[in-house]
Amino acid sequence: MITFTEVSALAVAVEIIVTVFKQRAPGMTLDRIPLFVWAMLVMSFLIIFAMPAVMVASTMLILDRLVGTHFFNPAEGGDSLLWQHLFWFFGHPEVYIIFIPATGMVSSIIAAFARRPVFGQLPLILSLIAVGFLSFGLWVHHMFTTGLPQLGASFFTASSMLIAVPNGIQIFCWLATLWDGKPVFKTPLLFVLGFFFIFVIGGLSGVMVASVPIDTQVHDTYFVVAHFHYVLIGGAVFPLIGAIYFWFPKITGRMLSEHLGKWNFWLAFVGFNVAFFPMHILGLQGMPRRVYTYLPEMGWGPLNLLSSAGALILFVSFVLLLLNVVTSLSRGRLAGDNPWDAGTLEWATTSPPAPYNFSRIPFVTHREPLWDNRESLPVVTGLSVDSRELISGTLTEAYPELRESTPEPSIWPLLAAIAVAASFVASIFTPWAIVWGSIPVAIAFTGWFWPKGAPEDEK
Amino acid sequence: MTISDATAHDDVRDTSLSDAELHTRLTRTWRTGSSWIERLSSVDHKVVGRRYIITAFVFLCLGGLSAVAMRLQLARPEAKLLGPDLYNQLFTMHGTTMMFLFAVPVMEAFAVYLVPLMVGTRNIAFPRLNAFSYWVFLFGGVFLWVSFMLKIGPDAGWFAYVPSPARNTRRENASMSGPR
Repeated sequence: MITFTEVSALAVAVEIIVTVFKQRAPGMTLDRIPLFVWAMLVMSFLIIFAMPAVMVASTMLILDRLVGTHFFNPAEGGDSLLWQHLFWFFGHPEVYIIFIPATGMVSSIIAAFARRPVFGQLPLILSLIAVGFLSFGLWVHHMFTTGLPQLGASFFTASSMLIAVPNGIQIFCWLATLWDGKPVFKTPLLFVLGFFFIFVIGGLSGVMVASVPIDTQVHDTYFVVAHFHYVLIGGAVFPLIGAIYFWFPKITGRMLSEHLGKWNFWLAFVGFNVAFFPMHILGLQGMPRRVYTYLPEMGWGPLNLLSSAGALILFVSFVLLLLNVVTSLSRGRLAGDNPWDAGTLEWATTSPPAPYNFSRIPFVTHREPLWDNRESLPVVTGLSVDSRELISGTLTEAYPELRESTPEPSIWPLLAAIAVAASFVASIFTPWAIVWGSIPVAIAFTGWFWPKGAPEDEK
Repeated sequence: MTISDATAHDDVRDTSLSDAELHTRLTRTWRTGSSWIERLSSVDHKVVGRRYIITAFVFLCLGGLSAVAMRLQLARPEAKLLGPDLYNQLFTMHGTTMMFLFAVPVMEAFAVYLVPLMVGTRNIAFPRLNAFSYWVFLFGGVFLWVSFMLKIGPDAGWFAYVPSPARNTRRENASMSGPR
């Protein structure tokens, strides 16, 4: 299963990088790329460097089990710690694979609702990249209790604290944007403010567990559970729900209910904190993770009851979100092209966008093109209308170079996925599945890439 | 061929057409058909992105329900709602689902939908690979949850530290699945 999702993530990462590098609209130089796109670009690079580690590790584990290798078996000279190293070399960047795109969502929402471009575009981009690099130097802080040498542990403590610096820069840039702007407190912005509050608490408990003595105390207790739920739910899920309220009109053409949205936010915010804050205290009292129950005399009952009540409130908030989505799909107010009066290009086309995205490719003159050209965007023309073409440009300046044809629909990707899935699943039962499974996979890929005799291919 | 290159073949360019004519012809070129086979063949980043987002949220619901079940079990000391074995499977499924089937895919999903729109292009690069990646993600997620339903779900935590998964026979195979 993990290998499945890794394959799909790697594929998406490659697509995003090439799209951002080569397919930008003319005039969209590097400094005019929206922060959301920068964030997705950094995420894609993290995926490409991190995911292979876990693919290698899971392959070695399967080999241990199916064909009797001993990578992780100390009795035969293997090393069980190797698994933890490989896993967390992927596992820590994984957290930033989730968090960095969320920062992109935050930047988009803040620019639209503070009514001004985000303050400090350059420091924000640089701190995204810095976080991307630093995230590969942190993995051992998941392993402080495995008896590693002291020097190594100190290094990883320092780098774990260091990563708070670029993250702090981002928070201050966003706060400055809100400070200087005229904030409009619609639901997406509320979720972003909730993100600030919760993520900063999670960041602070993160600095605490970055230190070896504290981590040794609270390792495998509910303190750690509280910490990573503050970071992941605060850092990723809150911006994500905000992003749903923000882009739902673009994707469906209809607005989500603002009234239900406010309820959704406050229930989620209160429910989340009631559910997870007590876990800090439970962890300090020594309650271990991953144990299915506890004795009454430990005195953990009341806080656990409170936490469960909070979890139910959080659950209700998600039911409200679902309700809001379902009712708004048919009865929501019509959105129009640009309901929030935002500045980036996705709001220049219709809602929902036509299959061809833009009838004429826009020419970009500014970071927020729609704020720079209030009347109509300048456009680039010259693409064919009867075959699928797009513009391919230079990496830094997005100077148009080529009219590039792009593939027609095809059933072969589905058939290839079925063939790959079948051979993975069968490989649980016998390693020979990989050998025999490669035949249908090869057939599917051959069909996929069969040349169609397009004019371009013949030249 | 460069943009400034004169029309070498008899293809029609968007330069000279009226807005309505342009809309008709571009729609004919780019649309995803309405038959089943055409829908399954779609390579439109918006169609694939929408499927990705919806699928990821279905997995969020499954991961969320497993969290609710665990919180109900932990609400009181010595509760008997879930046994230790089911509890182990649930926290493993919760972590695995939230990390691998919800959080990462949903971020990719938003990228797939929005990045081509934000950079002003007509489709994502390698659109067929994009369709392939969605199907592989869907099958992987369904496979994990089917093995949970069959009561052979993984139970060693989302990070599957050795040696415990190495001892269990078939369970972590479902989680790791497949040498590559």
